[in-house]
Amino acid sequence: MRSLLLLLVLSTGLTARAQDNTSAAPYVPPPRVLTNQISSELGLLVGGYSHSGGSWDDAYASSLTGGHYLFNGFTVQAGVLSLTPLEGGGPNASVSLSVRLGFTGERWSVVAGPVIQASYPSTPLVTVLPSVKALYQLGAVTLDAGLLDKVGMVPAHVGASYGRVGLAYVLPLGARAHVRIPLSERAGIQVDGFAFRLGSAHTAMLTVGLVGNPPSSRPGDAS
Amino acid sequence: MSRHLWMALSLLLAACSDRPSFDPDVVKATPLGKGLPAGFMLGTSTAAHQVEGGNENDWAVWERGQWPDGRPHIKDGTVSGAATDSWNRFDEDMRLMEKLGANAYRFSVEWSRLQPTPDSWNTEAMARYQSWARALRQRGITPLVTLYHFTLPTWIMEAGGWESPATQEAFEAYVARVAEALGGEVDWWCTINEPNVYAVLGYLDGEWPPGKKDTKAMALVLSQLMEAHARAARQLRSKDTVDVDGDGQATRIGLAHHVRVFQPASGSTVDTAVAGLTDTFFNESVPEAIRTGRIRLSVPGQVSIDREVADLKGSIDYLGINYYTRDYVRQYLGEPALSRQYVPRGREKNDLGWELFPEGLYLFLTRYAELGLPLIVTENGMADHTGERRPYFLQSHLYAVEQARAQGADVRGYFHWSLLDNFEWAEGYEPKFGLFSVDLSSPEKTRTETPAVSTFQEIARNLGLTPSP
Repeated sequence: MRSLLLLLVLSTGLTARAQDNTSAAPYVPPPRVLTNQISSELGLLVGGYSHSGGSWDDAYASSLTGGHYLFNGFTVQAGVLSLTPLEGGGPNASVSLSVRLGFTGERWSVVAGPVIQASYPSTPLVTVLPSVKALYQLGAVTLDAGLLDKVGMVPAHVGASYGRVGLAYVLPLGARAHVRIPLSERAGIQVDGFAFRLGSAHTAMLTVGLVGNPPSSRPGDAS
Repeated sequence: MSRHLWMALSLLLAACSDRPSFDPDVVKATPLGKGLPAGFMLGTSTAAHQVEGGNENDWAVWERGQWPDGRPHIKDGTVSGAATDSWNRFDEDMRLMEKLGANAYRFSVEWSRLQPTPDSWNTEAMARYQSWARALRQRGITPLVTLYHFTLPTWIMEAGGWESPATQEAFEAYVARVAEALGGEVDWWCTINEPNVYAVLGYLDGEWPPGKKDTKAMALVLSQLMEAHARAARQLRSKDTVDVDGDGQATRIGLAHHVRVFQPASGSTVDTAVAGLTDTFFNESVPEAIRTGRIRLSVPGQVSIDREVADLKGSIDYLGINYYTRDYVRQYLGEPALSRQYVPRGREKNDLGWELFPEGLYLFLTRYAELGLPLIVTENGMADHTGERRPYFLQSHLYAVEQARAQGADVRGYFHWSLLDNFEWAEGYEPKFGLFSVDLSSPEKTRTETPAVSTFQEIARNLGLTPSP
């Protein structure tokens, strides 16, 4: 909850500062398929596997904070996901960090990088997996595909977004959806969910949170 | 606000969860045994190589060997050797069973002892096994005989072991002779003990003979063992036609399936996926093969076996379950199994570091109840050198059996591993699993009761059995 408040303050502050900067000529960034974004979401994850006599499932509280920032097209995308088991005596809590670098153009964007997951007490304590995501804008529709997206949680997906709504097929069998409900020009409520099956394993996650779009700064501007 | 929300969510999920959590006070206060039906088999388990002594087979050869760095194959440097000398002390062991009040005993016959070379057959040894089964029955103890419990004659291993198709013929012929000889004294048979454990430890982890680390060979051996089971069942049905206990069925055939709870280490997708993959391979493939008659084994990117086996479908009258522990599974791409298994710090463990998780036995019994077959716990026990923690272990796992029965699982028996301390394979003699400890250094291999004996006796009395003084 603290991170949600921080996000609101940050989005509002940046917006206000951008509006106050009346003395300089307003900076209009070149159009790109992505704009700066930060978000913080809370949610619920249920994961486990099925067998002939039923299933083994664990439930977790999830907290995801992340975003991407563009430096003249050069893109940094980062996210931190914590999963806290809701029942004692079962799985361990974990924290995952995803840092992806790439480039965003007028119609496309590609970012790639590692997902580092730490879980205590686990053996091994830390694991590292690759992650990649690509976007391509086709008119009003943005197509996207990714591997281990959402801080490593979605194994592979291909999807499309139109306006504030996005849908995706999650491989090998699943779906992903997100919707943004605007609160202001630069802030909104984000509802995001996915569910999939991978062999006998299955996972479903639903998160709700705030998303904000801080204005772009002029390239090279220290502020 | 958010804290209250999560607490409410946690409570809601806990209320909806079907995963049990046993309260030790409730377990201890339950008069265990009273919830079990008359005729329920309450006994102990052993295996020939671990207790008989004097066996010369592939394991004996392995025990004398070393790893490339000079460490002995057996962790504590021991060899099975004379073991607990049960080959010569069976009468004494039977008295221990009577003292427990047990009404059943699971033991194995040793292939290498009965058929030391391809062209020989040890009729004297066969007669001794026959006399054991008869003596047990005379004392009201039902014998349950295992035909293959991890050890192979050296001539079989030298010819390729379970990787060789010729082993199928040899095993089938061996089973036919045992069935003919023991059929008049035995109704309850266990064809193969823990095919999944044998395949994984011998051919994937390389910790047991023949010490291979080969995923394809591991899958091949597991499929061969399932075929061997089907062939053995065919021979038992054909050669054992004597209904010893007069229940209308001459043979009660099963196999002992080793199961482990695989707990995803964390909520990450990859940990969950590898836990599911491991469960499917280790816990599900054997009963699924028996249910469908097809062996389906798959390790992504490495091996895929899918074949029908004659007489496999419907080959068992009961499913034996060997249950000990829960493993946490964490993805690790550096391992052939794509994961690492461990027990987190802070969990209650036995002397071998295996987590004590009696709820897991309940979960497996209710899970396999869906097969529609009677279930028997063919092994369950703990390594406990003091013997002080075993009484509660026994209570909590019998409690799991009773809880599973109350949920409708048709559990017909419970065999504690083990009657005696014995040779625990690659771990040597260090782990102490026995209800009776054994002084291995004494010439008499002195047996001494541990605190769990009185716990077992109490359960036996509640079941209507009579432990001897």
